Amino acid sequence: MSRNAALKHEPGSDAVLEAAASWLALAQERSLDPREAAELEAWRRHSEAHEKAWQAALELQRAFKELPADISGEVLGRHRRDRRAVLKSLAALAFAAPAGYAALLHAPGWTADYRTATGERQDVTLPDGSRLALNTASVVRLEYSAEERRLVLVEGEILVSTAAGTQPEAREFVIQTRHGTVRALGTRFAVRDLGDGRTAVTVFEHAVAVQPVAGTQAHRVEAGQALAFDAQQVFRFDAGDQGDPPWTRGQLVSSNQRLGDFVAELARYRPGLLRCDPSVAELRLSGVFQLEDTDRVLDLLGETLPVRIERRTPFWVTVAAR
Amino acid sequence: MNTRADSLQDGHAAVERVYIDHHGWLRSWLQSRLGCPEVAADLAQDTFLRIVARREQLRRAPLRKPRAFLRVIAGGLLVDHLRRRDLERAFLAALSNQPAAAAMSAEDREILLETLNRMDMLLDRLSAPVRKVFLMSQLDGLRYACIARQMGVSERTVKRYMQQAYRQCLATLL
Repeated sequence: MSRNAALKHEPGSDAVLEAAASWLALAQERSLDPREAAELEAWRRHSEAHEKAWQAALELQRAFKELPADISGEVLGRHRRDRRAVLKSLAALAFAAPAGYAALLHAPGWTADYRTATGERQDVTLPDGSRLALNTASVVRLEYSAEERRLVLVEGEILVSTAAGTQPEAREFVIQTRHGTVRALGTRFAVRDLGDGRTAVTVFEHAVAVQPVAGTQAHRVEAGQALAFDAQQVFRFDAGDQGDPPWTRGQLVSSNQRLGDFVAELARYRPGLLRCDPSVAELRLSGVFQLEDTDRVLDLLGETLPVRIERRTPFWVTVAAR
Repeated sequence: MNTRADSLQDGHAAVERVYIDHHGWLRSWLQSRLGCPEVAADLAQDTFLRIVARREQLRRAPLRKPRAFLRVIAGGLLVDHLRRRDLERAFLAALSNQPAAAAMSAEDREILLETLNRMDMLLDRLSAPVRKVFLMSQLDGLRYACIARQMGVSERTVKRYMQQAYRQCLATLL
């Protein structure tokens, strides 16, 4: 057999795949009539490659039939990250903004890390006297230079109170996240990597200027306002209550909040999996909860709402209907 | 004499040079994406394993832009890692929704997760509507006419999608 002819009959060649797929698609819908069955039979016998492709096809169908439909449907049908979009975002940060986030993370010079574990909080005084509070599961890198005071928020949430020292500080104060920068205009504000491809900013005093990595203009956020942004644009974001965020006092405050949202928020402070059954997610609750003992908070839910706390393991907890 | 061993040596030397010059940078690049130093270290290691496999090409043609090259390979691994992590999360969530899952042994769960992971890789390159149609047919056992109604497309389109999905899966399997 010539090389070309051999290639044509490889199991993975285009023509063989196309034919096998076409037979499968037909056989999946209805039983083949006798004439079709005979045709398929002849196709399979035509070459070893055809038979091999058909066996692989049957294998594939069998594998799917053996899967439990409900669990598999949920897992395989889940919302996916767009592979190309992820790759593109990596490329955009790496190539288009060499002086941005990626470069900063490995820039030589004076850097320092602050890091909190899940459920942990930390207050830090920075070299210039500014104050920094780190919420649960947060990582910050310090990049102070002669020109500016820059903090890189690698992940998590921080509250910043810039120094109002005796001598005026000429250097700019900038927070860098993977989505852009927040420039302080003499101020007190919170920055949070929402973990969904966006950063949220809430301002308590004065104002900040937000600049998405790939955005063309800066957006000013005044005291009492908040917004979220991704690498391209800004979004509306609920400012919530005025005053410092409750987490800085170790509290979680909710006011007529959906239980589903409350549980998602509480999950940030607990290692492991904490989820809320959809059947109770629409219940509402209000209260002030202490974050230092999240198990106690869960018990409280069980006492005050028609819900049951299922603890499969300490790291796998579900809030379910009673 | 001994040219084959020599060229192997040179190949290893080329990989070693790339490793020494860029391993630290690659790790921090990955870590900035993941926030987790352990996983970043693993993925950096995997990236270099891929490069070791290409040492012969590397010896003949040294990399002109080593970091861009490493980023491309590490980027692919990173996307795979994120896919697997999302899959595991969805699996845990699905298990906790299913009362029947409580009766499953740890071993059965592992096997199911691994099977799903393989299926997931097969389905990963399909476009969203094709994947949806395919799952409706394979898992839910719906007929094409029923799928067509639910998706608001013609039966012919459903059949075309099915054929496309089978074709892609088989191409990966064979």
